[in-house]
Amino acid sequence: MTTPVIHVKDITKTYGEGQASSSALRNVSLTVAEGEWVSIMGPSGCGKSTLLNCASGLDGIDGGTVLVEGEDIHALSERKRTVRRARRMGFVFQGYNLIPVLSALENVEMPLLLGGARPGNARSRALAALERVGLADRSRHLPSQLSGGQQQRVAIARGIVHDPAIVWADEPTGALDSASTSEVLRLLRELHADGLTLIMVTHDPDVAAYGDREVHMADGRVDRVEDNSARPASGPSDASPGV
Amino acid sequence: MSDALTLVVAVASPLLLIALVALTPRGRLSVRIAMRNAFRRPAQTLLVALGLSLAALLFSASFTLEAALHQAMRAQQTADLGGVDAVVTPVEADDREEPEQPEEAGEAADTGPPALDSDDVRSIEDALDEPGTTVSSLLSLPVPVEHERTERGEPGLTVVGAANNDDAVRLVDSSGEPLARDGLREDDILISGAASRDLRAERGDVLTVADRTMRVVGVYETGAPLAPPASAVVSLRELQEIADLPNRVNAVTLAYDREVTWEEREDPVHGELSSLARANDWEAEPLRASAHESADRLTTELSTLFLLFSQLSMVAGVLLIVLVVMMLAGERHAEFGVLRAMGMKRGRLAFVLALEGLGYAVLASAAGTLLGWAVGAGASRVLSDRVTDPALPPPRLEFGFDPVAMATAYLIGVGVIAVVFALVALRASKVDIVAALRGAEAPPRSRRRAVVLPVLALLAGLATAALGVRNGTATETLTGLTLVCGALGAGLPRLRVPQRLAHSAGAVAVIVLWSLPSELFGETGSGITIFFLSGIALVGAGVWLFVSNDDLVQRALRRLLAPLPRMTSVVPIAVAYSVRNRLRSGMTIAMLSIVVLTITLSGFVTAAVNQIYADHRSVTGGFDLQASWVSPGGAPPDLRSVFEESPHIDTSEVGRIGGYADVSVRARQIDAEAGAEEVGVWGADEDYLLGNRYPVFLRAPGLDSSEEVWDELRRSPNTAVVSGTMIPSDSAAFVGGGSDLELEGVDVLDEELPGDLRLEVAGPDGGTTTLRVIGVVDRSAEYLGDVVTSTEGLARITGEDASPTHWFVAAEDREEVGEVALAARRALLDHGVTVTPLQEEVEFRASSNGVVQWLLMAFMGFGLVVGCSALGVVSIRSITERRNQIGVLRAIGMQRSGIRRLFLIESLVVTVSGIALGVGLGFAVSPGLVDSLRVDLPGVTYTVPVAVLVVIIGATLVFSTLVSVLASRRAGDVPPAEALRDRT
Ligand SMILES: Nc1ncnc2c1ncn2[C@@H]1O[C@H](COP(=O)(O)OP(=O)(O)O)[C@@H](O)[C@H]1O
Ligand SMILES: [Mg+2]
Repeated sequence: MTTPVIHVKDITKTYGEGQASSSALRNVSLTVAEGEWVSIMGPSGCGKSTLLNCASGLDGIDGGTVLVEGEDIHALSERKRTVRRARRMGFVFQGYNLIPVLSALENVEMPLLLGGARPGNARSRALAALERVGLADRSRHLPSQLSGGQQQRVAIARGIVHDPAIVWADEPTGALDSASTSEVLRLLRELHADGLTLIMVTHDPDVAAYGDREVHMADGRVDRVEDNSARPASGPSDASPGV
Repeated sequence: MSDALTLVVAVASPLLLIALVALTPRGRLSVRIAMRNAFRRPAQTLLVALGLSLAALLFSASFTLEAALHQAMRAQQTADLGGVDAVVTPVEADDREEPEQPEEAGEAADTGPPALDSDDVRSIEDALDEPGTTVSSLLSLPVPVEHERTERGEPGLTVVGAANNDDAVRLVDSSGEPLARDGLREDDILISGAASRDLRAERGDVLTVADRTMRVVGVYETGAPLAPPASAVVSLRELQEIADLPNRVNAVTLAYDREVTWEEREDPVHGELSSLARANDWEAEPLRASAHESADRLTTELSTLFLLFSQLSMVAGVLLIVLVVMMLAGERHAEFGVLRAMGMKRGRLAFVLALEGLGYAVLASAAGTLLGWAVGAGASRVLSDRVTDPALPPPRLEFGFDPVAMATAYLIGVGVIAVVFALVALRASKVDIVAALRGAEAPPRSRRRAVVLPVLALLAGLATAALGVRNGTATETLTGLTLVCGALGAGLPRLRVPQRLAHSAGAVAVIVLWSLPSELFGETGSGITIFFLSGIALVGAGVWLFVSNDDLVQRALRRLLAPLPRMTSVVPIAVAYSVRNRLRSGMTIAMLSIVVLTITLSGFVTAAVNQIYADHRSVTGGFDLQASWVSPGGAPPDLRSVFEESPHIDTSEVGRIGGYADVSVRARQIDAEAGAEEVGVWGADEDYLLGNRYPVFLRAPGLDSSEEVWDELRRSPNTAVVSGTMIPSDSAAFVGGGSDLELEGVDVLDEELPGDLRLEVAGPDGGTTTLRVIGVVDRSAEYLGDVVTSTEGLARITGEDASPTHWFVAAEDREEVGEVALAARRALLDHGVTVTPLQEEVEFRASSNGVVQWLLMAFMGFGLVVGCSALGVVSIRSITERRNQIGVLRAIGMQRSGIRRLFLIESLVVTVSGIALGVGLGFAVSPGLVDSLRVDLPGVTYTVPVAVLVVIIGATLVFSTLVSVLASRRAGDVPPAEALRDRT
C-alpha cells in the first residue's frame, strides 16, 4: 500500500427532511490507496451508489470529510469540483450512459474536451483509448449501433481516456450478459494491472472478488471489509462470474 | 339567452362524452389509467396543458379580435346616431347637412328648408306599428356662428334644436358625465368639443348665432344626434325663431324599444310608415339598421386580410398541438411497451390515450379560450379607439363576451386537440413491444404504407393539377403540382433513388413552384387564398429540405459554431439534438416560421399601403383644401371670382380649383340582377375634370389614358366615372367601405371595362337618366363620389341647375398650404363657405389605418409570443427527457454553464432556422401579395419595411433567447447525482 488517494472519514448523508428523512449513509469511513481496486458490496438500497456519489463529489454530504488526492473536495466550489472531475476522475455507469447522438469516438473525446484538451490532441488520445478497449474499428458508430458489451467498453474508454487518478464504476456489469461481463472485467483487470485506481460498486460477489478489497455495506454503514490481496494474485477464474 | 345556451352546450358536450365513457366498466378502467397518468407527474401535465392552451388561445384570440373588429365598426358607424334608430325627414331638405361629408350635403333650397308641422309629427306617431317607440322632433340646420373675441367663424355650424326634455338628445361631456339641458334658456347654447376647438370658444363665451347673441353654457363631447362632430344644441323654440320656422321641425327621430337586430329593409320604417312617407314626400330612413349593414360590409373588407393572418396563426396552433401530443406519446413509449406486453390490446391502448387527450382538450381549450378572449379583448380595446372616421366622434366601446365566437373557438380547440390525440394514439399504439421495453428506437415501419401514401398523393395531385389546367385556375394547378412534387419526393426512394436526392428535389421543386409568379399557372383571382396556400407550401417545403439534409445542416452548423470560444465540447451534442429529431425540430421550425412569415407579410402590406397615405394628394386627387357651401339660402358663389375680388387672398398662390355639386339618388345597373341602391352622384365642373389627378385604372374600350377618360366625361354629359368602391373585391387592401351599389360583370383584374356598362339613375321627379360608365378610379380615391358625371350630366338628372356647391383647391406651392387655407377661410367666411385642409384629415386617416395594421401586427406578435412559449415547452420537455444525460455530462466534468450553453445553442439553432425561414419566405411571397394590392390600390409600391423586419427579428430573437435561457438554466440546475438515478 502506498499513499491514500481517497480518504473518506465519517461521512453521513440524509435524504429528505423531518419525518420523511432517511439516512443513506451513517458515519462511513473508507481509505483507498493508489492503484487499489475496491469493490463495494451490499444489498440493494444499502447506500452503495450514495457512497460513490458522495465520495466522488457528485452529491453533497451532511457530515464528515472526503479527501481526494489530499484535497477536501466538498470544501471546493462547485466549479472547481467539476473541473477536478473532468481532469482527475473517470466514471462508468450501469446503463452505459453514452450520449446517443455522438459517435463512440466523440463520446470518448468528451472528458478530454471538458478538461480543456485541444481538439486534435483529444481525437488521437480518444482513438488510442478506443484501441485500448478493442473498439478502434467502431469509432464512428453511434451507441445505438453497438451491443451492450461494446457500449460499456466505450464507456470504460471514456472513463480512462484522460488518465484519471480514480475511476468510479457503479455496477458496470449490472446490465450485461455473462460473456460481456467477463469481457468488461478482463478489460478492467488489465487497466488495473497498469495502475488504475478503481472503486466499483456491485452486488455480485463474483464480480466483487476481482477487487483487492471488498467493502460490505448494510443499511448505510460499512459492515465489514474483506481483504482479497491475501489470496493468490490471479483472483477468480475468468469463467466464473455469475450474472 | 340562446347564446348562453350555446356556450353551455359547447362546454358540456365533451365533458358529457367523457362521463358516458366513464360509465362503462372498461371505460372506467381507462379513465382511471388516464387520470393516474395525468396526476402522476403534475409538472409534465401542466406543461402539456400549457402548450395546448397556448394553441387554443390562438384560436379564440383570432375569433375575439374579429368579433371586436365587427363591434368597433358598428360603434363607429352608429356613433353619430345617439339614441336614434331611424328618422323621418321631408325629402327635399337634406337635413343631415354635414359639411365634412360632401356626399351628404344637400341641394340649395331657395325657399328655405322644407319642414314638418305638428300634424305631420302626430301622423307619424299614429302610423307607427312598432310599440314603445320614442318619437322626438328635432330641427337641425346649418347656421352661421361667429366668435367675436377670437375672430373665428363657421358659416354653417350644424345647430340642433331640441325640446329640453327630448330624449333623443343625450349630451355627454368629455369626462363622460351627462350634461343636463333642463335649464337651457333662450340665449343659451351648448357646443361640441370640435366646435369649441374650431371657434376657440369656451364655456361662458358669447357667440353670435345668426343674428343673435348666445352664451356658451356647456361643451359636450357626444350625444347630438344626426350631427357632425362640430355642432351645437339650442332649445327647439329658439332655433325655430332663428330660422323663422315657427312650430316646425325637419327631423322626426324614432328610438325603438327593442335593440335593432334586423336588416335594413326589415326596419319598421319600411312598414306602415313607408306609405305615409311616400304620400307626403318624406323620407323614412332606418339609420341604425343601415349603419349596421355598412359596418358589416366594412368588417368583411377588413377581415379578408385578417383572415389570412388568423388562418396562418391557427395552422401554427395546430402544429403546436401536434408537437405537444407527440412529445407526450414519446415519453410514454416504454410504458406503452409494458402495457402491450401485459396484454393490452392495441385499440384499448389507443382508446386510453385518446381519452386522456379528450381530458386535456377540454381543460386546455377552456383555459386557452378564456385567455384568448382576454387577449383579444385587450387588443381590440386599443383598436377600437383608433378605427374611427375623422368625421365622427370617437365611439365609446365596451367589449363584451361573444358566446358564439367563444364556443366556436373552444370547440375548434377541443376538436383539433382530440383528433390529434386520437391520431397520435393510433400511431403510438403500434409500439414495437420489444424495442419499447429496451428503450430503443423502433425499427423502420413496414414499407407497404410508405408506398401507398405517395401513390395516392401522386394520383390526387395529378387529378387536381389537370383540373386546374383545364379550368385555368392557378390555385388548383399549383396545389396539384405541389402534391405531385411531394409524392414523388417522398415515394421515389422506394424505387432506389437516393433518399436525400429525392426528398431535396421534391422540396426544391415545391419551393420553385410557389416562388414563380402564380399567373403562370392560370387565373389567380384577386383573393388571398393563394397567399395562404403559398405560405403553408413554402414553409412545409423549406422544413422538408432542412430535415432531409439534417446531416449536412449538422456539419455546417458544427463548422460554423465550433470556433466560438468554449464551445468545443458542447456544439456537437447541441447541434445533433437540434436537428436529430426531425419531426420535432421540423415542426417547431415550421411553427415559428409560419408566425414570423405572417408578421413579415403584414409588415410588407402595411408598408405598401402606407406609401399611399404618405402624400395626401394621392388620395385627394391632387388637392389640398376642400371648400363647402353651407349657407341655407341664396345661390352658391363662384369660388374663382370670390377669390379674385377678395383682399384676403392672393390668387397667384391658388393653383387648381375644381368644383362639384352632388345629390344622393337611387341608381341601378342596366342588365344586371341587383336592384337600385342609393348612390352619391357628383356633377363635376370642367375645372375639376381637367384639374383632378385621380388615375382611372379601368377604362372603357378606346380610352387609353386617365386624361382621355376625364376629357370624355367633360365632353359627353351621358357618361360617368365610378369609384373603385363600386367594384367588388376581396383583396387584402385596407381601405374604405364598399358602395351600396356593386357593379356586376366587372372585375378589378379586368384589362378594360365592358363597352356597354350603363347605369340608370333616377331623378327626383321620377324620371330616369342613363349614364355610360367609362372609367373606374381606384379605391384610394377617398374624396370622390360613387358616380361622377359632368355639371351638365347632373343637371340632366335633377333637371335643375347643378353649379358647384363644393370645391377642391390646390395650393400653387405645396409648402404654403397652411397660409392658403387661412386666406381662403377669411375670403369665404362671408359667402357661407367652409374650408377644410385635407392633409390633416388624410394623416389622421392614415394613422388610424396604420394603427389597425399595427394592432393586427401586435396580434400576430402575440402569435410570436405563443410560438416562443411553445419553444420553451419543447425545451423544458427535452430537458426532462434528457435528465440522465445531463447527469452523465455533469459527472464527467461538464460545468453548469456548459449544460446551459448546450441547451441554449440547441434551441437557438431551431429559433434562428425558424426566423430565417419565415423572413426568407416573407421576401419570396411579398412581391406577389403587394402586387395583388395593386388591384385595388394601383399606387402601392413595393417597399421593404426595414424597421418592421428589424423589430420582428429582434423581438423573436430576444424573446426566444429569453425563453431558451430560462429553460437552459433549469437544465444547468439539474443535480447530477439525482439525475443519474433517473432512468427515463
Ligand atoms: N435522491 C434521493 N432521494 C431520496 N432518497 C434517496 C435518494 N437517493 C437514494 N435514496 C435512498 O437512499 C438509500 C440508498 O440508495 P442507493 O445508494 O441508491 O442504494 P444502492 O445503490 O445501494 O442500491 C435508498 O434507501 C434510497 O431509497
Ligand atoms: Mg445503486
